Amino acid sequence: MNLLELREIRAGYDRIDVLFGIDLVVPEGSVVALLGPNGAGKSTTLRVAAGLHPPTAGDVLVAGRRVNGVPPEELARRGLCLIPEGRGIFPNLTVRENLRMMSYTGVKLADIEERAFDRFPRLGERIVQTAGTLSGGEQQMLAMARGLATDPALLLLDELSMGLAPIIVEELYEIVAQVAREGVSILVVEQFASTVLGVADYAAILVHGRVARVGRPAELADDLSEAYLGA
Amino acid sequence: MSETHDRVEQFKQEISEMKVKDPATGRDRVWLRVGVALMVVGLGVAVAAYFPSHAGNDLEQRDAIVMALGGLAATVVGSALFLRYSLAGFLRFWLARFVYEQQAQTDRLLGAGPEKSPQEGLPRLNG
Repeated sequence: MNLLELREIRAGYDRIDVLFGIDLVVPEGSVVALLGPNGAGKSTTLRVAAGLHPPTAGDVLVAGRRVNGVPPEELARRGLCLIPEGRGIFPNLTVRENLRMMSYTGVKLADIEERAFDRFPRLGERIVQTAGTLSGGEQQMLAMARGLATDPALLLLDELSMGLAPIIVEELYEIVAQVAREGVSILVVEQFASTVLGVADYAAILVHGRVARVGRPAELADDLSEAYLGA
Repeated sequence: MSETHDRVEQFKQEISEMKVKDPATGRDRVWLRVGVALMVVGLGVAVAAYFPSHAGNDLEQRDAIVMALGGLAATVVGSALFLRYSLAGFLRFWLARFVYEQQAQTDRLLGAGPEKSPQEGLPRLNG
């Protein structure tokens, strides 16, 4: 079964169209990478999937159910989690306070912290530090820890690598691979393809708001340079 | 793994049981308009009740008072509906803006402050 399915999605901002009929599926238990150059519409696709941006046409199906118009918090409460570009943490709160924000889902803070610090021991050492003073990698870890605290069934990741050193990106993608092995379905948006293709089961290349190619990562390697460089 | 399988099954179950509102109905917008309409109509009724209230007949005066009170009640209910549905939208944007400005302010402060140690992620003075 497809845990997420986008059918003929069209979306835009004001009068500017960004997506021109996106078809994409995330099968249960798989990792799908959505790749493409800057401005291709990757983040908009994720926002539409998470219910944060209404499509002008097309259907969003979660677990086989059409969910157009469902508020994002309803989807989040049931297990669809988006970790946005720019991390979306509260910079003026401490690590613990940021994690505490997730306890609104009904999960105890102790359980949230246990899960977070098991995966990201470094956060445990920074528990009383203000999130805005963490390094970029640690902020991304905090964003992931908060997302994973909700015990998601479907995880949407937006530009995990943005502004981070390659070694940190690799470390984060190891965590993504670990989460995927636990059976969580993941749709990950990335501009830098090399690391994410090592984790993904399928990949789609998005160019100018259209899916240009879908396939196994190995099959798409040659198409990537064309998508990015227009060669 | 079976724990995760259960989680996915639970997710599917919850999604299938979810009440999906038809976005075409736009209930919030309808209530907002109802609120505005009640405010205007209620006020109109209250003003209209002023004229028969001058009648010499006591019964007619009482009818006019009841009408005026009904109009005022409609205005109060309409105002409440209007505030409820317009403030919800406004506060949502206000909160989003507040969070964004906090983020921008922190970025500015960090940009102006001491460099961070890449190893420890803790502030370190230059030199």
